[in-house]
Amino acid sequence: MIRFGIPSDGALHKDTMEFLSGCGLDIVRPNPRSYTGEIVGAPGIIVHFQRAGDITVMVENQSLDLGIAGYDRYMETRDPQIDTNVLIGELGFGQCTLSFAVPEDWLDVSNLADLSEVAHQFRERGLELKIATKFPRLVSRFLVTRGVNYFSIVPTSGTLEAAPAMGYADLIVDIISSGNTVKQNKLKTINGGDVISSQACLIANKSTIESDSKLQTECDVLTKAINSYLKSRT
Amino acid sequence: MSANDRQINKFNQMNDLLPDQLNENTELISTSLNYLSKAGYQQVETPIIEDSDLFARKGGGELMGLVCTFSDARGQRVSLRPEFTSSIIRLYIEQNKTQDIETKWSYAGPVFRYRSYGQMVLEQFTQVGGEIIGGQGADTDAELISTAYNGLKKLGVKTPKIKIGDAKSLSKLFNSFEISDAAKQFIKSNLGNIRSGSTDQKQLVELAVDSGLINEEGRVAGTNSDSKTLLRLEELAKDQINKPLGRRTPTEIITRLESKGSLVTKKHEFSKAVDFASKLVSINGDSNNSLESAAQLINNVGLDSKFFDPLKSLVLDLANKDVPIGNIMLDFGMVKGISYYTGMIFELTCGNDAISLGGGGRYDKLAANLGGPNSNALGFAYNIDAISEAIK
Repeated sequence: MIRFGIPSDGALHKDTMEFLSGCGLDIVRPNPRSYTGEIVGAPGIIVHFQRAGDITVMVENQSLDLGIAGYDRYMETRDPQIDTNVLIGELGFGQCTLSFAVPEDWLDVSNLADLSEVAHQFRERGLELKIATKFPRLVSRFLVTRGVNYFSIVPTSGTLEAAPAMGYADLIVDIISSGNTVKQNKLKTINGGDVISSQACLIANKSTIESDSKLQTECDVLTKAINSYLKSRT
Repeated sequence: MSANDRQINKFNQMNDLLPDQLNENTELISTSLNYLSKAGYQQVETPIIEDSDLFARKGGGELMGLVCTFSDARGQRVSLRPEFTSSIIRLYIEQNKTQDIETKWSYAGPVFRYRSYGQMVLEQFTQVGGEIIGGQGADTDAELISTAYNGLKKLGVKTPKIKIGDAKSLSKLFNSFEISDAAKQFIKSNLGNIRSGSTDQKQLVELAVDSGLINEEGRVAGTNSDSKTLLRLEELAKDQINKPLGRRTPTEIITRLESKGSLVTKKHEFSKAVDFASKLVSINGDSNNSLESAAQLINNVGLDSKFFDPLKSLVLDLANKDVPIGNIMLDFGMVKGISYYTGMIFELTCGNDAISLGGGGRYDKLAANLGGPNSNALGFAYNIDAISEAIK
């Protein structure tokens, strides 16, 4: 049996169910509260409903063989020492961008270069720019390569938009889909401040799948169905 | 359940020391500390765990990517120390030392940081080091480097070598180009990538355009004086409450907005600076040849070749302090920690494969950045584990 993880929460859950149904992979759950399910017509696949943010780690630690995850979350969480890979990078749903948002009344800040200078000003005052985000690794790497070095990350799991108003961070880097929430919280995005564009992708633990021919066969069934559906849509 | 399932092993790259190795390391630590004590350094001890902000404020993003940070039981962000300098400066500030009097402290203990072996691995190693804070005459750079060099010989390293870089020269040289401070920082942050070849000049220019650092005209696009902005400026100046501004004040925002014209750099000028930096960071080798190449390069861009005289003097001072000139290398592309070093940077190596045994540098702004007095400071640290390997 191949263990296939799909998101149990958030926007990705509903979209994944619809997408798989489109692929002809309808999921049957014994009851709505069950954490497992089966795919009609594919008895070799067992579906595990897991939190979207946990799927990458579970594929890495071999609790799952395959999974659907947001590309942003995969890149943030993945351990480069472990042999996971993206089997299909663009599933065509869950599109979003991880972007910087600063207080809208920072009238002098419209791009990343402005932010770099503000970081310098903070440094001169003996402070560092505090950035609230759920993606500390991606954000740090992004900033360092762009010459913004004086900052500290405030890893946050809850709602970020209130951070500048509450004072525990000066700005945020978050998933911005429509921009409405950003506006409502008196924040604005900046030019050159998109860290990563993301959508749902299919990830796998390469070494477990390749070491077992049965798993490889089940994996092929899944990727074939998905690829055919994606092709039919283009 | 198999036996393997029950067994818990130590983390890779963390240290278990068996009696023989422990004795050897203890001996190295005690010889180093005795040597530093004779050179006037008094030993202090600081905690292994510190507030994460201490390290963030020293090294910013560059260092924090290598620090093991986690939330403690109360949810506070804490870090295992990746080096001693930040803690030593924090201690200096807390002790209210005056900047006129020179404080010389030594230390010894384990440090922890992620290191890339193709993958990021948390590594533990033991450091012994010394810091000189406050006071300081002109030749302290040579005094510190020669102390570090000659100490290695006391520890049994047969042919130690020193590689010296200069963070200050690079910053000063950038002043001859008409580029903004943010653009300078941007180039400096990418020097390592330029040198390793992972970023080429064209990619760097593209990235700078995307970030809004440079454009063809060298001016801020659009205007700040449109009626909507002016209205919001007025509102901002009047209403200082209920605005989510992070920790910035309306005055800071308005002042910066007024001076923003100087921020954007001309693409052409930026490319010239990147080209110059790429050439400079590729210069390294024995001190005479490197100085000659560097002098030629700055002559080509119309700068006085006397610019490197202080570096030349440092090399001569070292030679006068028992450091053979043939063992001194210069490396203009030494960019590690460039965001906090403010003067010379050096690395101690040995053998043909140049194993790093430690290093140090000058960081005059660190005490002020950590909320203390404006004291000059410099220091170095040995990697005891690497030295132990090198003398085997």
